[in-house]
Amino acid sequence: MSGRIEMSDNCNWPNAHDQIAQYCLGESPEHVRSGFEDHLVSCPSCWQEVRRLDTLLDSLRQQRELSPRLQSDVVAEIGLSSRLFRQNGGHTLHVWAASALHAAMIAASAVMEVAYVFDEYETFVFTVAPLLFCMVLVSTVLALRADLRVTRTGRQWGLAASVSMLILITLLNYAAVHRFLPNYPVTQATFQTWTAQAAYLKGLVYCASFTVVFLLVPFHLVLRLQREVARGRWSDVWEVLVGGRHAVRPPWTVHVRPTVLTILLGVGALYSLLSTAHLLEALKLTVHTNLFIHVIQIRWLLFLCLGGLCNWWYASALNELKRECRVYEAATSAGR
Amino acid sequence: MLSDEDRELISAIQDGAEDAAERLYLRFRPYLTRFVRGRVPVTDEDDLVQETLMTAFRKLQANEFLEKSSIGTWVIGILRNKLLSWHDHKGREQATLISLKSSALERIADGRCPDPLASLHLDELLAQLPRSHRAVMVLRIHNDCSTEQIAKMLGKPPGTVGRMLVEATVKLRMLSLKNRPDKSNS
Repeated sequence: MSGRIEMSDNCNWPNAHDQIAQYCLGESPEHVRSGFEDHLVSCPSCWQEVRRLDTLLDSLRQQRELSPRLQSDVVAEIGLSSRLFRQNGGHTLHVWAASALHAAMIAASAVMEVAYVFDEYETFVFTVAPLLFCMVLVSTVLALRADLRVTRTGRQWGLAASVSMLILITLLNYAAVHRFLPNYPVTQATFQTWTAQAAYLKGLVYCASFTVVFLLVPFHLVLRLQREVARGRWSDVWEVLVGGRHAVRPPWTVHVRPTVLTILLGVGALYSLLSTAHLLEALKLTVHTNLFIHVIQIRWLLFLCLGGLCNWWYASALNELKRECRVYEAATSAGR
Repeated sequence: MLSDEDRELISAIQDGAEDAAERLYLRFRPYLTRFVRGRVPVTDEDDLVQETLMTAFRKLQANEFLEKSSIGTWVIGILRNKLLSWHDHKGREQATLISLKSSALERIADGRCPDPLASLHLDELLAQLPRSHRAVMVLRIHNDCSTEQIAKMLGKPPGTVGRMLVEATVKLRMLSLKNRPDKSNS
């Protein structure tokens, strides 16, 4: 950096240009600042530079509102669209939290199916279930990352990739776990219950469908919109987000509004509550009934948490993209 | 050690020249005002500067300046002692919480705005910086974000952001020199 600016007088202060910049930014450590101030009193050239830079920085500091162009520059650097090429597309927390909830749901399903014969399957609960949790957690993260990788390259089949991976995980999961489960009905109720293996398969199908609707589809849409905004097609994204008449969704995406998903979650939770209540009423009382009821409630809560988390994240991400589009729109209007 | 200007000022003060205090004030006030900036709240800046200059004047009058350094270095030493006393009095913790942003807002209220021409010129200069540098600059200076906050927002290490800030500032200086209004007028 040094040597590019000509100082009016000779100044022997080491690295004076960077020092001036750091001093004016308030980034100098105290001992450096004090030393530099001693120098400033005796160096008119550096003092003049400090004053000039102070004036510039002060005028930026005191601007009440940034020009639309500057705003759009900042948004382009820190907005959601700029995070597409970061780890997990800038959604690391969401990716891991949602995957953990999905994995916990599956592990809870496995435990639930053997709760009534816990004495016999204690080893299964404490070995296979934690392993299952880890396996599903990692593979769900990988499924989301597969979508991200495909979307980043501009290809359109990111959702197909993540859904296929999820189906594959589910099939492998069933193939690996079903042999440990009893092939006869375990849960004791006044009506005929499913065999543990079949009930586990049913649980896996529910979990997978739920994850596709609440996690994979919204995640894919957000990634695609991030990419569109990053490519400068913010006006198309804006139309899609506000449901404009000329809205054209990116191909191979499904745009479900967060409110629709919330209603779906509410209806699903209510239905699940009623069907669980019916099952609980018909349960036969044994020493393991308490464990079964606890696990079924925990699994219900995990479903609700995953749905709630995904909806909240989805709505926030779309809002953030909307804000980004508005900033770009303002910048473009100002430039006309 | 002492320049001719320093010696002239000392003799003017010791001889009781009418304009001696004013000369001392005009010469060192800009430095002192800049040096206290960010170290104390704006409301206390002027008081500290005034006190420093009064102390320096009294000591020079009483011939207590030992001429071991230039007057400038000596006056800054007095200011540092005043700052230490201020910190001891108000508490160091409070002092470290002072942000440049609040100082800036208070300066506006106090009617000490910078040159308006510089503001007009600024957007033009910023436009010549790379976009990432421009964004870092705006976040640091206008939005008063710390380097760590910016690093988190950009997903970059704080060291890189610090480097970008310095580079942006140096570039801004370079551009302002190139496009100096007085240069273009002449």
